[in-house]
Amino acid sequence: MTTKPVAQGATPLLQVDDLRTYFFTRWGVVKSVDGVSFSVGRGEIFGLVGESGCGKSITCLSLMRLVPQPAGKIVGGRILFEGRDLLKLGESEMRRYRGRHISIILQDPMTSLNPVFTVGDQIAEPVRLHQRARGRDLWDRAASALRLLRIPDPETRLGDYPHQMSGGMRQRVVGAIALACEPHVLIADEATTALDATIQAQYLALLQEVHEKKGLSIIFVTHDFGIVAKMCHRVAVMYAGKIVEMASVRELFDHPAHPYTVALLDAVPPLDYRVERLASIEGQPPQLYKLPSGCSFSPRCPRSDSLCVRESPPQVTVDGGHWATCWRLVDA
Amino acid sequence: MAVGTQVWGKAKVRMRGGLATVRRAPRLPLAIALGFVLVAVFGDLLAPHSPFEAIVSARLQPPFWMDKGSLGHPLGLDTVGRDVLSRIILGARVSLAAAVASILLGGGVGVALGLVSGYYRGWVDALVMRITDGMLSLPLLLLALLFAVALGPSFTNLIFVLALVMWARFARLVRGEVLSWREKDFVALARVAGAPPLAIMWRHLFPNILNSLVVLATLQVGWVIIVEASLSFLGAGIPPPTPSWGSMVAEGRSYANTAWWISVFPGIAIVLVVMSLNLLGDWLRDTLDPRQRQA
Repeated sequence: MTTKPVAQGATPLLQVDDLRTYFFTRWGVVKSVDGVSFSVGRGEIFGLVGESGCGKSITCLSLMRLVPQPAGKIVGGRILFEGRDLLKLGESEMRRYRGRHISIILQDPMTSLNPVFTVGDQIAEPVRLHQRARGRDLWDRAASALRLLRIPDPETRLGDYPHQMSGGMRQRVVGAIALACEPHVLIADEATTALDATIQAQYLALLQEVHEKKGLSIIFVTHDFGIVAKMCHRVAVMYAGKIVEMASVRELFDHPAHPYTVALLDAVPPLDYRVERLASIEGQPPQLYKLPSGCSFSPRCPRSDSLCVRESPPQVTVDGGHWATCWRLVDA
Repeated sequence: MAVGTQVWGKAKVRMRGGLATVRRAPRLPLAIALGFVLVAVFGDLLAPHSPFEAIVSARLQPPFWMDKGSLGHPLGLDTVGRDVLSRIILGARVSLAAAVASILLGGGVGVALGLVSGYYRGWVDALVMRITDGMLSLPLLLLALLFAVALGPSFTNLIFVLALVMWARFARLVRGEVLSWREKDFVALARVAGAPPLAIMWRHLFPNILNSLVVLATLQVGWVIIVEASLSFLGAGIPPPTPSWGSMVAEGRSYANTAWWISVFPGIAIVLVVMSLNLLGDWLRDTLDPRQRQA
C-alpha cells in the first residue's frame, strides 16, 4: 500500500446515501441493493466485497445508472458526485457524467468489446462523444490511452480487432476505454476475475500505477480478499443487498467485527500450513425476494439467537470509521 | 472468418477471409444466382428481340430443335408471337427489381422495428411482437393477393404489398438477435461512453446482426420471386404487357397441350433461380453460424 487516502475533509468525491435498487420480477420484488451508504474520497481506493449475488455489481451499475431495464429500478437514495445528485439528472445529462467523470471496467473482456470494430474505434468513441475530439487529435488520444495501460506499439494496435488480442490484452483495452476521458472515479467490477493469476497481478499493478499518477479514485469490487489487502484503503462487506461492515483495510483484517466478515476471512485458504478441509459458511445466501426476518445473515450465523431472527440489527460503531450492523458483534 | 465481417469491416485480413469463404460456396447455385443478376441488369443488351415485338404470323412457333422451329427464336414464340427467350431475360429484371425494392423496404421497416423492440423491451416490444405474431400467422400469399387486388395491379403496389407481408420476418429475427447482443457488456460500455440509444442500435447492435440479415435477405429473394410470380400468375401482380415470369406461365396455361414452351421455360427459370438462392442462403447460414466460428 502506497498512498493513504487524502484527508476525508469537506465533501467526499462520491457519496452514496441509502441507495435502493429493486428488481420487479414475477417472483416478487428483489431487493438487490437495500439501503447502501458509503463515500469515496479523492484518490481513495474503496473495496466492496461479498459473495456472488450479494448486490455488489448492481450497486456499481446503479452508480452509473445502468441498471438493467425494465425490471430493475433505483427506487430510493442519493448518489452525490461532487455534491450533485446523479439520480436527479435527466438521461442526457447523465450521459455527460458516464465515462467522463465516472467510468467502469466490467468483468469479462470477451464480451466487453464489440467484435466488429477495431480497438481504436472503441477507445475513440467515448473521447469523440464526450470531448468532441476529431481526426488526428482523437487518434492520438486513443493511442495515449493504450500507452497508459502499457500496451506495446499502440499506434499499430489501434487498427486491431478484438479477436486478434489475448484476454489480458483485451482487458487492458477495456481499461484504456474506461480511462480514455480521464475520469475521477473508476469502478472496477471484478475487473481481474477473468484473468489468470500472473496477468491479474500485472493488471492490478497497472491500476495502482494509474491511481498514483492521476490521483484516480477507484471502487474495487471483488470477492478476493488478497486483492483487497493489496489494493484498497477502506473496505465495505456486503451481504444480501446491505453493507454489514465497513472499516479501513487494516482494521478489517485485524479486528473483524461482523460474524459474516469473520467467516469470510476464515474461508480464505491459508498459505502457510496444510488444511484437510477448507472452511466454508454453511448454507446458501438468502433469496433476495424472500429475505428472512431480522438479520439476513441469521440463518447461517453461528452466533445468532432469537433477537437476531426477530429484529433487524442496528449499526454499531466499533472504532472511529469502523462500524458493523449486528446484534452479536465478535469481540476483537 | 465470416462473410458479414467482410460486408462491414475494413481490414484487409478480413477481405481475404471473405474471398476465401466465397470460394467455398456451392458452385452451381452461385453461378446460377450470379447469372440471374447479370441477366437482370444487362437484359436489354442480351435479349435478341424486343419483348414487346409481336410476329403475329408466326405465333406459337416452337423451340429451335422442333419442326418449324428456328434459331432466330431459340425458345419459340408465345401466343401473340413474342420471343419467349427475350421475355424471360427481361422478366428476370422485373423479378430482381421487385425482390430488391421490396426487401429494402420491408427489411428496412422490419429491422428498425426489431431494433427498437429488442432494445427498449417493455410495452413497445410487446406491441410490435404481437403484431408480428399476427402477421406471421396469416397466410401471406392470400394476404398479398388481398392487398394486391384492393390496390390494383402495378409495380409500385406490388412492392408495397410484398414489403407489407415481409417486414414481420425481419422484425422477429432482428429482435431475437438484439435480445442476445444487448446483454453483452460492450453495450453497457457504449452507454458509459455516452452513446445515445440510436447510436447504440445503429453502431453497436446492427453490425453484429448483419450476418443473419444477409442470410434472411438471400432466402427472401427466392420467396419474393415466387410470390411475385404467383401474384402475376393470378393477374394481381405485374400488369401486362411487361414481361414477368409468373404472368408468362399464366399466359401459356391454356396452350399447355399444344405450345408447352410458353409456360415451361419461364417455369424452369423460376425453379432454377429460386432453388439456387435457397441453396445459397442455406450455405450462408451454415457458414455464418456463430457456433461454427472461432472466438
